[in-house]
Amino acid sequence: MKALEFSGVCFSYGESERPAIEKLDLSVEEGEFVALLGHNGSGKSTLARLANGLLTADSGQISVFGRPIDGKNLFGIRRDVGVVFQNPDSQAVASIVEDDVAFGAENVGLPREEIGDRIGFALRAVGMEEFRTATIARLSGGQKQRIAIAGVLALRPRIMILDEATAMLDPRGRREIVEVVKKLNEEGITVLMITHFMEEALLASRAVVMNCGTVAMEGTPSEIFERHEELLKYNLVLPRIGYLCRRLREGGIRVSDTLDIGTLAKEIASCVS
Amino acid sequence: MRIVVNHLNYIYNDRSPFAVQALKDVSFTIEHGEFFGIIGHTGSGKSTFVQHLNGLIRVPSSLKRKPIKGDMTELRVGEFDLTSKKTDFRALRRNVGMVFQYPENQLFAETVFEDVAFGYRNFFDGKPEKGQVESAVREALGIVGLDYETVKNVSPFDLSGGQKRRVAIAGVIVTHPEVLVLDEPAAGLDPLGKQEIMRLLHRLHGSWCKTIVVVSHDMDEIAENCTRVAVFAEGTVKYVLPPRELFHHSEELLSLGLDVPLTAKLCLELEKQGVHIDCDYTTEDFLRKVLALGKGGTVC
Repeated sequence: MKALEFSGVCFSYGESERPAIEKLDLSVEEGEFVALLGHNGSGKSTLARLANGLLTADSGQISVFGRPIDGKNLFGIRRDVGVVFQNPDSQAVASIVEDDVAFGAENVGLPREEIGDRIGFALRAVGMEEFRTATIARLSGGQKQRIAIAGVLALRPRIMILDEATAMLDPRGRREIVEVVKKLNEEGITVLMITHFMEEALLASRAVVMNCGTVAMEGTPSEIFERHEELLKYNLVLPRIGYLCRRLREGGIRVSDTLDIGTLAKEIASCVS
Repeated sequence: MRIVVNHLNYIYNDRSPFAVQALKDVSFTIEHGEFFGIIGHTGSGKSTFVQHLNGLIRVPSSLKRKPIKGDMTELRVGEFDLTSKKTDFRALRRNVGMVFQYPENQLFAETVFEDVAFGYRNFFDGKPEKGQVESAVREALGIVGLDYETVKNVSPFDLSGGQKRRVAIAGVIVTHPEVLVLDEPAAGLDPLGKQEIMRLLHRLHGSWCKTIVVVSHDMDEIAENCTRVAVFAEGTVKYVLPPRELFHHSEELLSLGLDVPLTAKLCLELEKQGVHIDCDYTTEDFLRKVLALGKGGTVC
């Protein structure tokens, strides 16, 4: 089943502005892990906001699990599609972790006991149970982002969209988030991850490159990274390891287009010894 | 300007139940003309340290009088003695430019011109003439790669993320600081924006700003660009080494929970396969050494 489907979607921020999304067709299957790449201003974030009805498309249709988004079902759509944003410091609405995680669940009017259970479930899922009564301001960036994810999880969404959720974190924070997201995906949540870190895209089952508000490239991450000339055209670069492989091949060392460090080392070793 | 740091300590919320020692007996020297990298986890003391460099955090006089472990705290940037109350901190700040994380959040003026001109006027002794301001702003925008005529009357908030950041940097370098300190200058930009910022730093280094000190989480960036690197961990400085020596300690760095450049990871893996690569951990040198090995042996 298609978890998310855009067909012929157009959107612009103002009458005179260049359209941010232009005739976009994209579908994400249930359970997929899709990485969404593209330079600044290519329309990635607009897409995320359209997907849960924060923005309304000018034309075309967006469906979530077969239900087209319209003005009347926004509440339900937002329970299905959770979005985590970039800035760890601007997403908390409460000062204590459990209050913050409960906010969404309270907002949709769940019974009190149920909310308690869901806070427990969500905090367990992101590995933050022991911080249930902690003060958010005293957490690290990675921890704050995990709380933001927990807040979304408390609504038991079926799709999770991460809009550069790791951009403001240090490498450790980034690893924390990536691990949580991978685990959630394995447990069945559909993931759409918007990122500038090409290395993160390697975790996805499919990568989509956006340019000028529409899909420019699509395929498995390794397929995408094989087309490096085309990536450059869209102002993207290869992950460093992809660049190394290419240069090694140009220099006559026959390595495959692997994106795994261990594999590459073995290939180099077998070639040079 | 040479930066000399000896026995520097700093405690946040000193003498309160929330006291946290952010710097513990930090000592090292940054030579004139270096492209110096600072790495370490969030909370390792990097930002606390760099804020000392232009006097945003002062050395508490109590520490000077009653030094920890009996050693005198010393903190000098060129001629400026930062432990002294008599230091001209305005002159210091004109010479030590500080670019904070996400500097575009500090843009405030209605036009790009006004935003960049603010720093210049602020640090000018007396009132600068119109022509002086204009040529300073023109020059600063030029070096950060923005066209003066196109952007001068534009609101900085209408620019793209990468452009905003470059305007913010122009606003700092417009006074021609001798030392430029940047806290994660490329964070949050797309890959091309990152490359542009690194290129800009190279343009500035040596001519516009003699010394560059950059805090970064990106080890590849560090390996490619820095003359030397200080590794902060829990408020102390673990290593101060050039990248080519620092990443010999890759296993220790990884055990500290820090990242290492891709080239260093590959060297470690190759070592396991019995292949030893002695490179300076820049991509180009790594490639050169591997390709040379390939030519010497049997290439498949």
